[in-house]
Amino acid sequence: MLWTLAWRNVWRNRRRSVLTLATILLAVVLGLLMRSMQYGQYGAMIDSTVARTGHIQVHGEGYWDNKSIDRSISAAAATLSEIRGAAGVTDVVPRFESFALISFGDRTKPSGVIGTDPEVEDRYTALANRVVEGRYLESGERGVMLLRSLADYLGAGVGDEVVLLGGGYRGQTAADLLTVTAIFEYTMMDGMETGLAYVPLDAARELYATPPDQVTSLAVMLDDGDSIDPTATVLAGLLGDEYEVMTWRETSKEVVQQIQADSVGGIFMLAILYTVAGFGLLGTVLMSTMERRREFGVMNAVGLRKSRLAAVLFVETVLLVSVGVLLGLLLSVPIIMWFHANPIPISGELVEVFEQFNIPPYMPFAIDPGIFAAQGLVVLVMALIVASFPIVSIRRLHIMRAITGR
Amino acid sequence: MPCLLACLLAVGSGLRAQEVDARGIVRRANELARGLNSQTTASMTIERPDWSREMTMKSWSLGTDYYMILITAPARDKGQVFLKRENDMWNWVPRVQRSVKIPPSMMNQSWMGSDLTNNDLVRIDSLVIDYTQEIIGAETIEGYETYQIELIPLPEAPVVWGKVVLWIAKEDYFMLRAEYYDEDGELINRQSASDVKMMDDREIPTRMVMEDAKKPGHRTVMVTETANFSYEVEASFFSQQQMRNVR
Repeated sequence: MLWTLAWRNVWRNRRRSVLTLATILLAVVLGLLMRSMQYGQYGAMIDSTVARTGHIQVHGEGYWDNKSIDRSISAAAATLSEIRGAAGVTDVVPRFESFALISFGDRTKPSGVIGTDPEVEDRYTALANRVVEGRYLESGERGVMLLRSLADYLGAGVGDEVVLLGGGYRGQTAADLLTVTAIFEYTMMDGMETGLAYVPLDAARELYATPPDQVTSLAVMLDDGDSIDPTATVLAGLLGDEYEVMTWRETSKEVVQQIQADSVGGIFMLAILYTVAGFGLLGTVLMSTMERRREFGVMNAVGLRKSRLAAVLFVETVLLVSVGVLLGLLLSVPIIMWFHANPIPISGELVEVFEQFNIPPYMPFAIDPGIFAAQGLVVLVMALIVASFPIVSIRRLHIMRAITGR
Repeated sequence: MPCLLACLLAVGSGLRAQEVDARGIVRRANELARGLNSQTTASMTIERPDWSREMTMKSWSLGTDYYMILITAPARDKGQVFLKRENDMWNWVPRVQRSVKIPPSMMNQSWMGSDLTNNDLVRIDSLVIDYTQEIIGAETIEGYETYQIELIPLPEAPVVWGKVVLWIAKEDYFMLRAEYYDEDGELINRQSASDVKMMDDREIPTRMVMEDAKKPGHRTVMVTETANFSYEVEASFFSQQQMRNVR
């Protein structure tokens, strides 16, 4: 009875109700598309970060605060298989990172040096795609890949032998002569004062005079990005005090902050969107309450209690909003699903930027049910607030004045 | 004549006299510690909480501008040479048969993994020329009466320290103790000298310890084993060519 009455009331002023519905529907669709795009973008950023750092990183205790190779750890087969054996772990990427002076002829430049397993590195960071000259590293060879700007500064080309010189393990001298196999580009390093060089893992260990299985970090890849914290706890327990176990959120704080800042911007936009939609809805509701004052007076006079009257009005608003939200969801879900399956390709110069960051050049749409739930909930809360206005006005209704219109 | 000039200056201003005095003390102590025109052999031990490493070296110097160090042990580093000419530094590495010029940006990096920096080797007279010196007290250390001298870097000086405090023996000019502070006034390195012995024609402290004040157990010990202060050496000896040939 209540619902039928409310439903009929909604459709008494068809044009106004349709307009209100359209406002809510548009707000929901726009809000959902925006959030889905944002979350999709965050997902891509996280994927590219995690490809570099792993979901979890294992170092020697104290390494992260003071990146000395004296805090490097032994990644013997036993340790590796122990980590691989933990639930959810799909792969472990060992790296040995340090610094060296790289010298060719009479030119010298300080540079970061990353020792890595070329094959495994390429699997996650697509390093081979960055090679612009020469050929990608092969594991076990005594070769080095130089960043374009570093090679240009040194005047070294593919096939030249460059000197790497620096501090080795436990006060030893790190010095080696390695052949340049390739030159690579990395936009992220543009404008940096120091260079960057990749060498095969064993060449790095030989250069820095470390024991055979030494690494500075182990990047642990998981099959599920949601189980990072429990797995990190398990690994910390497994490995003991001599190791530190950090999640990508701790090792890539800047990415987390970037996402948070952007997300706050998105939430602000949503707040504006929903405020506008909310006032539209409020306008409709107030108008219909004013127009129907006489009707309310009569209904009250013939015996419909005020509380019942208020309930009818409340249900009217909730019905209107629910239909709007429902239609909005029905409309956006297929759109989002479509774009999730067929992301919008990015064209032009941006493509290169995306590729340099190891992010596929597409606008991905996330289909996280949380996004839908959050949007629905926000609109519903807004509807409840708006719906409470006519209740107040019913309570204040004076039968005689309402009927006579005075 | 120089004395007369100094005396006149001293009469002119008491404060000025003290400044000249403090700088003179630091200069003498520095010359004594670093040894000008010298040929020495020394050992250096890098001590860390869980490991330590000893190396031996032979060095030649001429004035404050020329300096050469040859590493003689252990085997992996043997034959490495560091050459300092004026403000430049080169490193000859026999393993790769190349010499590399150390770029300015690396001057504050650790030398050979020790608690000394490249700058400690290159700017030998840094304590004299890069700072203002002022006597701030007197203390007795290990039986030696010392001046306590505070050094504040000159505005344009290429140094990392915010303040250095030295304890220099009044009679013998031994730099018995030094403390290096950063720009926030925090103690970073603590240096001390001991084991005064007769070396060639003079007595000098033969054992120098550089300690990292913030990391317990991190220190470097330098022991002078032999020294020859009447060694005749030409500036031309300190060349990149010579780096490959010194024994």
